Amino acid sequence: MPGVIVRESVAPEWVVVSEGRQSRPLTGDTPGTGCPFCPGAETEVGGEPFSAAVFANRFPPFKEPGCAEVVVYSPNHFDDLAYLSAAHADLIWEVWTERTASLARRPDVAQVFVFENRGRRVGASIAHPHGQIYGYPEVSPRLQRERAVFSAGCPVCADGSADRTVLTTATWRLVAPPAPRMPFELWLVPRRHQPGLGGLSVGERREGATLMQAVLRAYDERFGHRAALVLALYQDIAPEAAAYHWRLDFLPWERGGGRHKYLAGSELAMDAFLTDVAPETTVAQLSGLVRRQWERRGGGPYA
Amino acid sequence: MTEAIHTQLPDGRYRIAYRRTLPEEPRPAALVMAGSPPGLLRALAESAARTGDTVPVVIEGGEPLPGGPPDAVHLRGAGVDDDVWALVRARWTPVGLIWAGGGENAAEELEGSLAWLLHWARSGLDAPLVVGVADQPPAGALLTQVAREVTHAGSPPWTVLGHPGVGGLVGGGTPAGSVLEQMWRVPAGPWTKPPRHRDAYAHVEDVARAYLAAWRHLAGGGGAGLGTVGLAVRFSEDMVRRALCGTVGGEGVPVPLAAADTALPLPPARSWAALIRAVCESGEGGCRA
Repeated sequence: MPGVIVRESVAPEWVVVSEGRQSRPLTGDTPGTGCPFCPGAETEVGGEPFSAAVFANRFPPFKEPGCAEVVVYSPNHFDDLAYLSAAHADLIWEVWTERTASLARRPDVAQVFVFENRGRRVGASIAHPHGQIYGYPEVSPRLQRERAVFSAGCPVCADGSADRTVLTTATWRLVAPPAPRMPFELWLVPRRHQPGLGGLSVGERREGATLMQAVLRAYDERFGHRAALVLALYQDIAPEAAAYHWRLDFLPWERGGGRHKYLAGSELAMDAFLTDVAPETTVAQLSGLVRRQWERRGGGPYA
Repeated sequence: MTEAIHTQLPDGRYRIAYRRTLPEEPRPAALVMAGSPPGLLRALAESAARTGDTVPVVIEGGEPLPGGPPDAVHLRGAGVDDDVWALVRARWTPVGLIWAGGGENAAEELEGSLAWLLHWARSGLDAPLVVGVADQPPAGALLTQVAREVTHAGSPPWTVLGHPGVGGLVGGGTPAGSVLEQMWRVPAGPWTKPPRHRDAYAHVEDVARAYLAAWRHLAGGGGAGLGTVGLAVRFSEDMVRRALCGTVGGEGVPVPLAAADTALPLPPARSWAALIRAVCESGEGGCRA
């Protein structure tokens, strides 16, 4: 049973109530038998060959209005997004772009949210690397608040802080946000102002996908294991959304030293985030790692 | 050029298969090491790094390895940590796992390590499994369970290398031979009664001969029917270092067993990957490649 959007009675927010998702499986790390995302006649991706696959979520939080899709990055059970070939990563971005455009055409979808919960600790219930796409039937509270800010001018274009810039390539900027909600948070933003994936050129897409991989690998190197994080793509599909500037947000649940960030009292109760890592620290600790990974990935000139 | 094939599923949902010709990017080979003796791991990692074709990957659990091995990739997390495992499999093709020590660890850590090893055994890995084990009873039980799992998984082409450690000898634990007896049902023999003092480290050839005898016993059908072969090698850090550096048995023969008895059909190995492959392909003890 898909869920329903229920409005909070004391705040202008909403919650998706979806009891049907209680029955979704929790699968282990074993490929093949038991993995619903490995190729097979009885699995979610079927037995035909594919490079990447998208399907309607069997356990959707909402469905008509709205939709929920799963993006399986590769038939290989161990193909993490960070370690795909550059061409494969570009394919994933192409899939995200195509699905964004397709869902944006639906009258029951108001916002398209592409994301990945990377790792069990962050909520991934199936180990086979995959991401998700939500077609929200209403604009999320977060995007509503951001729209209000962007309507007064683009804060991303106005942000020229060198202290918080990790890397600038021909078409992208990687920055630590001024007010990170999570430790070591980074934003990957296109240098050219555009509201969503649909505005990307092929060249921008390729470079962005490779830079995303460099960032993920840098996190893995920094933390010594596959970094637990949420990869969140903020975009606006509304026809009047020209003011918005889209970004890919890396939200690590790691504090370093094997310690993890948890959302607790202040964050959950008050939407007031506390973080232990200043953006300047993030830049200091990750710049070298990202730059090295970017060079290893054959990235172009950067500053 | 990307092709998108849309399919309507019987339950009303849809699926889209995207196809694009993608270049092959093979993952580099890795020798994964975990465990407690830093010096031993350092020696192994240095050896693997020297080969140039195998990345030494050291998993630092509760016991960091300060200062080394410098050429190894260092991962951090408990051995059973999903995130460590996921990164290993995403970045490399593991050609083997060396798990050293453990017998002296707390029960819960051993449980964690066990879960990780079993995970490895069940993950469809098409590379040999290399298990090191200390000689205390908990570790013996661990390796026994791993061997059973390997057997249950259908006797994949893995080799289980059990090396009764030295901790029990110098630390008052169970003698190394007891693990062999319990696990592989090797009857009492010279290999079950190693010298109970540190000088044993110097008797490389004697120890190697003893374990070669155990190997042959297993090859002759004395194993426990596990579908794998137990190769018991007891070594010290220094012994490993010297052996891997080629100072035992001559240059280019980085295997102490080969130094002990040239009749053992182990070709000189140029790398860890080749070494492990050679052990598997030797056919000794019913081992299959």
